[in-house]
Amino acid sequence: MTQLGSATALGAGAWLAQRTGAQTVSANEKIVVGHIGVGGMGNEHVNWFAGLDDVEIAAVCDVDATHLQGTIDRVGTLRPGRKVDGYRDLRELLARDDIDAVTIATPDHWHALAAILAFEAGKDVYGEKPLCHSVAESHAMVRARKRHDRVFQLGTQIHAEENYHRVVDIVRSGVLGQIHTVNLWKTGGSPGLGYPEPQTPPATLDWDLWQGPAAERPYVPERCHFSYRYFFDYSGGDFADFWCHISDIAFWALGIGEPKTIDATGEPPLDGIADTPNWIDVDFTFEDLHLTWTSKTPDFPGAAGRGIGARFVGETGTLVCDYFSRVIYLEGKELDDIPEVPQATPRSPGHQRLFVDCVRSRQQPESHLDYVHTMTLPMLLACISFRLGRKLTWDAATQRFVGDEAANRMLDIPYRSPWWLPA
Amino acid sequence: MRYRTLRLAACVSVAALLMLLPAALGATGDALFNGKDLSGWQVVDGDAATWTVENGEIVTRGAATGGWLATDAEYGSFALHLEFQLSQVGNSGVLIRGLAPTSVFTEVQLVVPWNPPEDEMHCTGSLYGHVAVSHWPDETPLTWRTMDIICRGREIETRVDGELTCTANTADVPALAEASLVGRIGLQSSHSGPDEWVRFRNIRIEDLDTDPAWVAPLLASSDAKLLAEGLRCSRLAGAGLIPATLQMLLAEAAPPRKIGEEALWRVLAAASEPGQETKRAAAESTLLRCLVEKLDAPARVAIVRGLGLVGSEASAEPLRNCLAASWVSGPSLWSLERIPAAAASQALLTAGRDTALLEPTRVAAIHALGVRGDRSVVPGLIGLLGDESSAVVSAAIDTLGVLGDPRAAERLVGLMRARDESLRPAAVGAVLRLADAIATSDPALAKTLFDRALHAARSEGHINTAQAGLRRLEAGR
Repeated sequence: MTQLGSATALGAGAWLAQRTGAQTVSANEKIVVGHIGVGGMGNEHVNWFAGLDDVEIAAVCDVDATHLQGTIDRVGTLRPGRKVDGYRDLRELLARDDIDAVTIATPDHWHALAAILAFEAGKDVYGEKPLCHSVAESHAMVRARKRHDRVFQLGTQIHAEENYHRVVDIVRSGVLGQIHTVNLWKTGGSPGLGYPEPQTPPATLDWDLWQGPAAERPYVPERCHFSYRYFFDYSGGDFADFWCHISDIAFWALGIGEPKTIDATGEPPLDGIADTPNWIDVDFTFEDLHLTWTSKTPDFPGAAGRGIGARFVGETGTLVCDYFSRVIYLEGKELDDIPEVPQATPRSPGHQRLFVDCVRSRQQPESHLDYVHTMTLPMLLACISFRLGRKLTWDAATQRFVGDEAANRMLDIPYRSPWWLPA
Repeated sequence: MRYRTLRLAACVSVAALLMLLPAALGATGDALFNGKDLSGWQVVDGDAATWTVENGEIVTRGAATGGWLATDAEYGSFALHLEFQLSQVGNSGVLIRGLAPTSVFTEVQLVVPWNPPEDEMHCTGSLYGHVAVSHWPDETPLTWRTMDIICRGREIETRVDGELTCTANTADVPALAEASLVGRIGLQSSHSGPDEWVRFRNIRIEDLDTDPAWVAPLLASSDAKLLAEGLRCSRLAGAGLIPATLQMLLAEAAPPRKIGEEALWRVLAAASEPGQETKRAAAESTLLRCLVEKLDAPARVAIVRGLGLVGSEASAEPLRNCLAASWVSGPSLWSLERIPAAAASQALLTAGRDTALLEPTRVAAIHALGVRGDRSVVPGLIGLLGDESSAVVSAAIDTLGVLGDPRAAERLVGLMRARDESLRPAAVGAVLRLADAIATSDPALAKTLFDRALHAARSEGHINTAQAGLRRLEAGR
């Protein structure tokens, strides 16, 4: 049995009928969407996609029956009259040929496998950040999207905001001079979560399916919904979570490539079962660029009061921004805009709107897979540097660390049977 | 029995262990100063010219421009031994747990009797300004004297000419309670007048940070700073610390299990550093030795996982032997998947064939071969296509597709029409993968495979993938 299950087999009549018109959606037809993972962010997906008139929500999927029923009820309120099917197992949802696209808001350790299974089933994907959980997964996603010719957009919705577009205009205009340093930060780190005792999973939760490809562990609620973020089995802490939003502005504005060296320092919490960074500082060198990350508030102007942010340091000026605001330090002045800089970056019609437009046009949206792969890679490499406690050197040509066998072994996080990573 | 002893050792308190250590072990330690030059040292906050080496001695002269001469390395717990001589109005110090470039440290004073303020809190052997001496030593200048400084966690002891001058527990000294328990060792420049000087020679150190017997009890400490020291030193203590960390994994209470896991990981991370083959081999052989001891499950799982980081060819068979027990088979497979040696591929292939193993284990072993990308197993995998278990056959089909070796093409195409219908979707998927893998090297065969797969496809996904593949071939032509 394949990971997609035998449910994919159709009757002969059905597949013959499909063969002629496979994968084209006419402009008048609605895009039919399924939502996978609806415990937290997935409900935002439901809200957003329910707000698009040309989208129909056909199915939702969650391994927790409580989440599932709650969301089915909510879709019923948002979109009265349309029957919405609920699934526990994403393979059953993916086997439905009427669904054009899925959104994925599972925990991180499911992101890559769920997306690749969706690609294999011929679905386009709007996937929550972070992109995935290992470098091997990121490569597999890129290959699979291309192989199956699918549309992918990462759920970095801040990308679509006016502020990010304006920051790109300003940085690319050259008014700050050549940018030589970028500082990123997000304050705070993993709590320890104490030492809770293992429990029997609630009857409404399929703990085995929730764990999916991750290591088998006894059930404790802290490992599951929401605080799974603080375990390397499933995620990489706040660092992995927020890297995607705030590094986005730097990678977008500067077209940064892959890092040459990665040096992470930090500590996990020691007062509980969580193991992702309680604090982490990372120093990256890129061709012509120095990039840093810290989980503390930096002491330069513009950082105070911003729990997350990015600073671009150029030869002639500096720009500090967060999701919705920015401050520019230029010629001794403190500005919130430079009106002379033209609006050169095409504005987004909305992050989800753009995705649905691309499902129709077969173009790739702003946060497409090749772009977010490059943007996510430094974060994944930094997690390895953090765990090994040493500076690493990366070779973009071979996609391997230089002279560090153990670090290379950590590029892949093995899957638990029966799951495997389709490369 | 070895572990029983270690378990006891882990219970011994830090204080009790202190009593077991000889008083002046530094006298026999490693040389910190080579007698020839200042390699291993650097000047912090000062003028390097202030420091010279003469007649096997480090000499510092002049007024307060020399800052301090700091070891490159950091030390937490140690026994330091040195000899010093002060000029007529000499004033200097030995700095411990110094942080550079911020120049924060604790100073053990070296001074002559007539240098103010002339009290027990500021005389030779005192922790300058913080802890007074219990015995004021002879401070007559122009005389070679010995200084021993023994730091064990929070306990600090100083001796001058072999006689105890000062003992302190930094937890009881408000100004030192939060001071770093680790840092560089430093020599303070002469700072009492332009014509004054200080000489140092025979500087030796016994480094407790690298001693598993010292580090293991720190890991059990309830003092957060000592615990942090234990974890830091886990990277330094080497394979000798592994048995103690495994014992911690078997503790009833959760906190020691967490710390044990963390400490074991740090031992292994350090052993996996490039250029540390001896350390790596020691860690691997210690893990393999502990594996034979039949420890309880949490320790064996940790051993098997650890081999994924530091294991070599030597670990392949021991890991394969772990596959029979379902609770450790997953981590064993992951470690085999990660060990690059050919022996690991063979072990996985053997496991795939082993009908004594549970079916999911065999399936996972076969999928692991796909991740490794080692095509030497292709003939073996083709052999598995005739296996009685359809799950095993299906896994072999998947993996042959992933490996993308044209030797498997004919069999995979045939399996798209397999009598066992449950195998057909996997075979279509594998043919599509294989076609993709060879699209550049053999576009004609790739086209045939895409066409055959499209014909056999029964799912929207497979049809889409085959059509996409054909479009790419067409575009590449």
